[in-house]
Amino acid sequence: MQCADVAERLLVDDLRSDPELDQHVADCPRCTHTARKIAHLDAVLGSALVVAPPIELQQRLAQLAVGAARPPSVPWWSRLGQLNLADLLAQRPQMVAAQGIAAVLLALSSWQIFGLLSALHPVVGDVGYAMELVAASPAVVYLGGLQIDLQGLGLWSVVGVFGWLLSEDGLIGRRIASSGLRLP
Amino acid sequence: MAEPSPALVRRAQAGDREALAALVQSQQTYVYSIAMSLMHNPADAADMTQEAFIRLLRSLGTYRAETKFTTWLYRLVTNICLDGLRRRGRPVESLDESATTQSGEDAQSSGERLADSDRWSQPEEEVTLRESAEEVRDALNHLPTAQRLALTLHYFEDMRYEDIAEAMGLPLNTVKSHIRRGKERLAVALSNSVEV
Repeated sequence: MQCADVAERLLVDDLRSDPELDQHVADCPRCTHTARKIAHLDAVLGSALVVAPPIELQQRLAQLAVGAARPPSVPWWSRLGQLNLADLLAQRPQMVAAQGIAAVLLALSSWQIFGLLSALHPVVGDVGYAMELVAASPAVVYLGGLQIDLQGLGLWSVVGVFGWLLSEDGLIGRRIASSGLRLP
Repeated sequence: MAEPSPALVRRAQAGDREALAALVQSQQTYVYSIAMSLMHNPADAADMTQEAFIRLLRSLGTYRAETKFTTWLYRLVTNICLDGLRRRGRPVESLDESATTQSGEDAQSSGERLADSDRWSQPEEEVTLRESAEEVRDALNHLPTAQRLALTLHYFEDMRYEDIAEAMGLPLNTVKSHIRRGKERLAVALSNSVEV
């Protein structure tokens, strides 16, 4: 192996673990010196060419990454068409509670509708008398109070849902946030 | 490690905030280094780096893992910087035009030139290294664009010659030539006893 070949390989080769090359470098003072110089040149060039960006730029880039992580802004009415009912109705504690309340409200409203229809069309059997008996019972008085409570609960639930819609994670709030506006 | 894991890239493509932050953080030094290598000044390099990451984040979904992520990214950055130079009305050297036009450097073998000076074998290596970094910055500005870029990519972690060739869009031998000639020129430029 010639000294010129060694210098050439030291300058461009990826793999420096060639036994023949290593042996020549170890035995030849000239190539030892060349190898040392090339290693030093590599150290100097590496530190000069690979440079970290300034802190301000790093901060701007971090903000870019955070901004890119947000989902693209889509109007809420467009997202209504993309709602996944299976996800929405997944068994979560708050969903179970909401479904329970909905079932009670459905039962109460059904009962009221049934009573209204009975009052308007007392044709089949003596429904009116039966309803009078039911309406006079303590259980119905209790249920009447419960109905008022549930109506209040429903009303406040509507208020809560509206508040959530306006929050940062809500449909309207996210849209406002992505448009650059801030809620007061 | 320069090359991000495929899992990290996939999570970033899905819009995962932490993955995007990790991806940007792992690549910002390399992207900025390429921009510095091509733009020559920190302000322009910062602009190009920011533009490159904006483009990266917009087009991340189009990356199909057919090439290494870093190769794809570095090529994107290189193109953005070359476009930036054109927009600024600065001369843009073709990356493959300087491989065969050297000013008489081949008259003497690289080994002879590198062995000529004892300057870098002084015992005060740390001091010399810091001083040399300043000198190297000046010397680098006199290198042709392709040699400077090839050398920059060469000193990135885990970059093989094949990756550099792909990132620069040049044949493998041309890249090797750029790196060898670049090192030779710098070795000569940084030696006081110039015997070219």
